[in-house]
Amino acid sequence: MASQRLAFRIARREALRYKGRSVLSITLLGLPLLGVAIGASAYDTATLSPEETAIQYLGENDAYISADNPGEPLTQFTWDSQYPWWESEMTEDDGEPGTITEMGVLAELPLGSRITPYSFWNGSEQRAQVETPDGIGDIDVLGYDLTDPNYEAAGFTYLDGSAPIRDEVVLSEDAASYLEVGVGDSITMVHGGADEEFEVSGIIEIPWDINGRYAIASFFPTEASGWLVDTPEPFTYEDALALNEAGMTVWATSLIDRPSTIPAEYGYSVTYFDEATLTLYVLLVVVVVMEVILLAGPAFAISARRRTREFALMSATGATPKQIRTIVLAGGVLFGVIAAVVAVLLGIGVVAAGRPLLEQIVGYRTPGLQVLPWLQGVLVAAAIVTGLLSALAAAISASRINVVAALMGRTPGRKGSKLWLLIGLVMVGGGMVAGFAGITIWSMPLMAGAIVLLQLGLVACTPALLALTAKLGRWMPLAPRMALREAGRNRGSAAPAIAAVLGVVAGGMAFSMTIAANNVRGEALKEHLLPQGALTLTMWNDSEDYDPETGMPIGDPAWEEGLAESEARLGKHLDELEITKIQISETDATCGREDVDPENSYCSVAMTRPAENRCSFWETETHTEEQMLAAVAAAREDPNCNETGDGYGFYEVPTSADPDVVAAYSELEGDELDAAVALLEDGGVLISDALSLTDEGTVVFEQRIESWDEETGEETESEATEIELPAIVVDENLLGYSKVLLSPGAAERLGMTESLWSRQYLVSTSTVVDSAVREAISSDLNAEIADGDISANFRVTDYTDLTSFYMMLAVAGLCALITLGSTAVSTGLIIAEQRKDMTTLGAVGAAPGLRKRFAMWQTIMIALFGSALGTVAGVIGYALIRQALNRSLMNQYPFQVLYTWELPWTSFAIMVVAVPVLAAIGALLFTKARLPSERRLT
Amino acid sequence: MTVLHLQGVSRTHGTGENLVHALVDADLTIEAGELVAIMGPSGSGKSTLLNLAGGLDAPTSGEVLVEGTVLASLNKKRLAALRRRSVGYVFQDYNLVPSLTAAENAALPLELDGLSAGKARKLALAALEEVGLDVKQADRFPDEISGGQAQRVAIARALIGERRLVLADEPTGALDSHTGEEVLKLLRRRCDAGAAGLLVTHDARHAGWADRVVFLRDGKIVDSSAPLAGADSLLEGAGS
Repeated sequence: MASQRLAFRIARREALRYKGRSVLSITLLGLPLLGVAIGASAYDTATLSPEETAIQYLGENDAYISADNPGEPLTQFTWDSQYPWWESEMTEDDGEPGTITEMGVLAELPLGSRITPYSFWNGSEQRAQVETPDGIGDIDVLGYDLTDPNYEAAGFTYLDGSAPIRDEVVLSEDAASYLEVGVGDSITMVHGGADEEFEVSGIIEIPWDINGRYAIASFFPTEASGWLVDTPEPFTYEDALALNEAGMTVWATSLIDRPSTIPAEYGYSVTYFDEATLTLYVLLVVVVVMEVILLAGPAFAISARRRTREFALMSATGATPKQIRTIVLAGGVLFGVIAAVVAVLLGIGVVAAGRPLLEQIVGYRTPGLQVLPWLQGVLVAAAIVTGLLSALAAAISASRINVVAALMGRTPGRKGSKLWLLIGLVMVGGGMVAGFAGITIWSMPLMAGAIVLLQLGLVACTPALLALTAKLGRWMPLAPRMALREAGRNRGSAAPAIAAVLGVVAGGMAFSMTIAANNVRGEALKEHLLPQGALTLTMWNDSEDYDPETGMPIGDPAWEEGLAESEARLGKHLDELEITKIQISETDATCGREDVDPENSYCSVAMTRPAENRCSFWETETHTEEQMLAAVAAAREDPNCNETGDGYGFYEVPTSADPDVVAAYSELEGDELDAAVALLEDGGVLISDALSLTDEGTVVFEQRIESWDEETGEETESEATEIELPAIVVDENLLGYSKVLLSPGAAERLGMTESLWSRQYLVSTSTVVDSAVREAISSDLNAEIADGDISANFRVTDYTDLTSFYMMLAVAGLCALITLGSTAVSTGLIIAEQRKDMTTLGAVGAAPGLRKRFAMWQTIMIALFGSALGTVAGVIGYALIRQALNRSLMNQYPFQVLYTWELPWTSFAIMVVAVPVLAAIGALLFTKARLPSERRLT
Repeated sequence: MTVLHLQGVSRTHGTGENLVHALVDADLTIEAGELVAIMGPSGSGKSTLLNLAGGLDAPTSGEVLVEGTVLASLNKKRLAALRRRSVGYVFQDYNLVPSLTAAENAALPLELDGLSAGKARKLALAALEEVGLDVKQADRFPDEISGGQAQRVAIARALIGERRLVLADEPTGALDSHTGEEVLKLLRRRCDAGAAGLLVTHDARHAGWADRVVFLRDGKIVDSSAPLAGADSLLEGAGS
């Protein structure tokens, strides 16, 4: 115990003696922790418990009720959220399910209860157009009578003004800001040409939607999803059961703690997803911890190396190797504790200070700063362990110093690089085995261990690799030869620097590869309908003449006039302009059938596969996890199972027989294009799903019409019709989600009609459309077209998403900065150690530039070694992360797009090429050219 | 009472063509109360002998006994314990742990041995007083005291507790002549009080403080003599 106290006393005093080094170590340990601490505190603060959520939505009201099954009794299984799990109690003689009135609701509640219309979301139901400072915009409207005290009890708070009366409205803060109005100002609602002005009586905040942009007044349509309930006595379970009996679900503050009664057969959940997510998080934590250890470790190593004589003195005085180790480790623990305390306190402070911002981000008010003590405790423990592990290598090294050599001021013999190489190779091998085993049997500890073993193994191999590389020096000029040999000789200085670079690059590379793969996945999930770079003009019908009943436009939209104007505006910027119409076909409610009631039916069209080409998955039972896994596994073996879950649908299908349009969509050329056009002219279709093609060269579409009873809303009829059309198969990656290009004749056969709301045109030009041209066209098209009845948009098809690229760039930039820093520090140390040699070189007549060149080559060595080894470690780390990411995606059908192998070339170029070059330039610039001369101290 | 006994001790470094005989078949005995000086040219094996005597290095052949214990029979842990309890070192410079105060430096062996900081401090203050260090200096760090004071602290540390063997490697090398003399006087006084001392020095005047002078050349003990007035001439003789 006494020696532990001594160790901590020494560690504390050392930390104070070398404040710069201490701050560096603490910063390296604490920065990642600060990020986690902020995240943890923000998460704790923003995460509401079921009770807090209920209070936030209901305030002082007793409950919220929703007529989910009006007139039919229901059984409610859960009580802890606004979306309860319930089941209809089906009865033999179904009465007349339908609507329930406010009187009906009140009849089920205790006498004296009050109810108020209320929804949990804003804006999804009712929108209105309103004049904005820049033109016309949309705003959500709520038909609430805010004089009802239940709203105030629900937490609706006036930031300014008061409840509206007569022609007044209340705005949310965001709406007021958007419209640039305040209390007493007016807003203008635009209703099909008939504008109405309303005075703003107040600015209001709804605590669970502080970013909502809405106007509230009693004259707006009410369309609430349910009612707030205020009962004279506390709300009871019996009250809830009575409401359930009347077909209403209940969410009440007093019933939040009622246990769930979901029947066991409904309790199926797929557990592998959680395991995979947990594994993913653990692997990411391991990557970050390893990065911190390898980054902070060198600071301890260099510190321990500088204290060699001190440790030798202690050994001579009787300190055991264990005591020496304890002294170094105490430094690690001390820095870990300081880093943890500072990071946790700073993290909590940042979240406390930034709570308003956090609330803006999450979009709701929080009950206050909340900190989970156990989570912060875990962070502190993690920091201490990380500090301890960072100092471990230095501690072992310090306890094994050659005391005699250290006391004599000699450099000890360089023994054991072969042993370290062997240890390193065994660790790398062990890591590979652990990784494969971990993936095979899905063991998180093995996968996490693999990352640790691989990185430490590569670090252990570094001295031997340096020694090996040093042998290449004989064929090199003096400066690189010396740099190589010095790195080989002073492995104690070079190896920690390389380890630091390795750690940073490994982490950066693993994250960059994950981002790159995610980007590719996102690209694959996008609908690739037209080839990259294709130009389109889209026009929308903005006419306000529409039937409020059907929502369909009245009269013939001014398409021709709109096209002529748009073409003229495009022609100002595009040479040799050609515009070809692409018909967009849609299904309507009846698919053109006159015998079907459009008010009470729905028509859908789908492309089918011949029975022998159908995937086995669709014929398999998938009620349990085991069945699902077995069905997906079988699907992977079944060549007919090639469907992907990257979107689905058969609406807004491109339709044309024009050769230019067909070529753009199908990428066919020559005779193949001619054949495709001929087929389309004959009423055929192009498809990209080869398995849908029958032996007769046709494809069968199913047109399904579903109808329901106008009174009861119950499905009355489902009628399916098969329509067979000649088809040609094109590349499987073309034609978007619907996998089909229709001919006008085929669209007609399928009962699809041209959209009344939009028109699309393929644009061709000899002009290169860069961002300037695009912006100029957009600006021109922004002006009114066809007297405001038509709006148009010019688009260059571009599937690239630069967000991921910038994220990768940021990660690579951060890694590059740290790499440059650690390379510079270690080069400085080596140069300092080289002083005597430089003096000798100066004495024998070496040119001053030698020192600069030596430093340059030294940095190149460190950066190249670290980057190369780090890239290897990062790639292997990503391999494991990828497995964790794909784990849940693997077990789904239609198949999900998996994370693939994507080398982020930009990041790679930055870390492996740009960083060494920059480091070299930095070394050339910042190293003194003058060679030192010998000075005697006495 | 014999405190240090070297019997046929040899130490070689390297192998084959690079084989170096640092110390050859050395025999030496130091009794309690005796101060022995070792002189010889650079590379003659003086420091090797000192390191072997303190158990910092192990002989290639022969035996080293400290207070009757054969050092070769001890493992690293016991050797460290022996250094804490029986052997004290004084080096030329950089003698003290920079992050510990003078008193803490003197108390270091005791604290390493598990004694509480409070008790160790009491003993350390007494030891510092014995070597003539002003008690006001006790709480100063090594970089806040003079070289002579630092060497006094080092001697206090070397002899604190029950330790009876002090091994001094050029303890005056970094000091001016007056301070050097003071340090040697102190060393002499401690030996007179019962400690055994082994002093490595280049300076014949310093060797004059010893009871005996041992001359080394090329790793061999070439002469051993009583010191006093003849020290300078003996050194010349050894070198010729």
